[in-house]
Amino acid sequence: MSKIVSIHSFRGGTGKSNTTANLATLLAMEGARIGIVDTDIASPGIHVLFNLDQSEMMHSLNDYLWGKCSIQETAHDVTGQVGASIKGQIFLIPSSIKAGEIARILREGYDVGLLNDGFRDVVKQLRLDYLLIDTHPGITEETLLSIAISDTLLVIMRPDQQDYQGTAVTIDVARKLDVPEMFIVVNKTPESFNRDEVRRRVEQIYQCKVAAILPHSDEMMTLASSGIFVARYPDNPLTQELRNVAYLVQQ
Amino acid sequence: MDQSAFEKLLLELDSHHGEIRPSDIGEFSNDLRAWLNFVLRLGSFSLKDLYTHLGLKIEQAQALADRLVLRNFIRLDETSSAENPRYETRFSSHTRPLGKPSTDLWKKIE
Repeated sequence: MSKIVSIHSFRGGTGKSNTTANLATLLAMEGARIGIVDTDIASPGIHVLFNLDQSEMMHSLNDYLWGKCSIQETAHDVTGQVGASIKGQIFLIPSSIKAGEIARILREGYDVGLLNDGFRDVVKQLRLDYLLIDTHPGITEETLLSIAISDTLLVIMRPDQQDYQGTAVTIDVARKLDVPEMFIVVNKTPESFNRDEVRRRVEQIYQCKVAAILPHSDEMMTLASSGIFVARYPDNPLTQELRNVAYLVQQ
Repeated sequence: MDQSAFEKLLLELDSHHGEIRPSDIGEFSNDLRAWLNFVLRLGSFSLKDLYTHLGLKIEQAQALADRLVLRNFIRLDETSSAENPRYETRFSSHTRPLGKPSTDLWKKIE
């Protein structure tokens, strides 16, 4: 039985794409077949983590939404790009990074129902164990769709007042959409914070389980999206925390 | 399901004009929202699945399915037949296209 997992945050820059890529890698290391869809059409980025160059993108999610190709044709096998021993497989469906194509999809809009069809098709055709949806921040029709069809929702937030408020909105919406399973991941937590206290407060405020309190990491900053953190730093404490997230998603 | 409660939910559904967008779901009553969320997660289902899971009579399930097809929320599956109607969730709606700026900015970007 495949599982659809949406990774969402109300605000940008919380680390959605990094969390998604690392989660995909950890699950694939254990033998799972993973699909990742970059639905952040306005500002795509996860392809960078997998070192997927524009010239290598035969088709993007945009092409599928315009009816130029099937969803399977947009899936790029990026397993070999991870730089670690992977028992499973990782397929990435990137959004276009051509300015004209981003502009066109924003200008013309697109049929959100096609996304729904595409998600279901790609799970079936590629025999995926997990489909991870890297969403656009905030609340839009696309993100609502992704949340509505998810089995699991990971809400990423930073310990920041603006994030606290926005996360409340996201959690409220997710509850209205009856998402069966929801976790919060607190990211970029300063070393000086008491992590147990942060966990306790967040769980109390949102009445939602915290999957991990991820520390701010200089190694992550230095890596600067040039690779997958858990593959480069398998023994780092941040990797261990991300393993906890993967474990919860697998349950 | 009790017919009067069912008709009340159908009335609420009928009062919604056009396709059901993802952003509409949160605006419905708890009962209707629970139905729609459930149907959405079924993905692919038969009429029998619908009346079994939602505790409806077969005529009620058919009336609900017909309305959801009209609003592009579900559609008939390609394997559907008159004897065994099958559906798949659709959730069709268009994102709101941005207007064209007077300076024709889009053209310059493209």
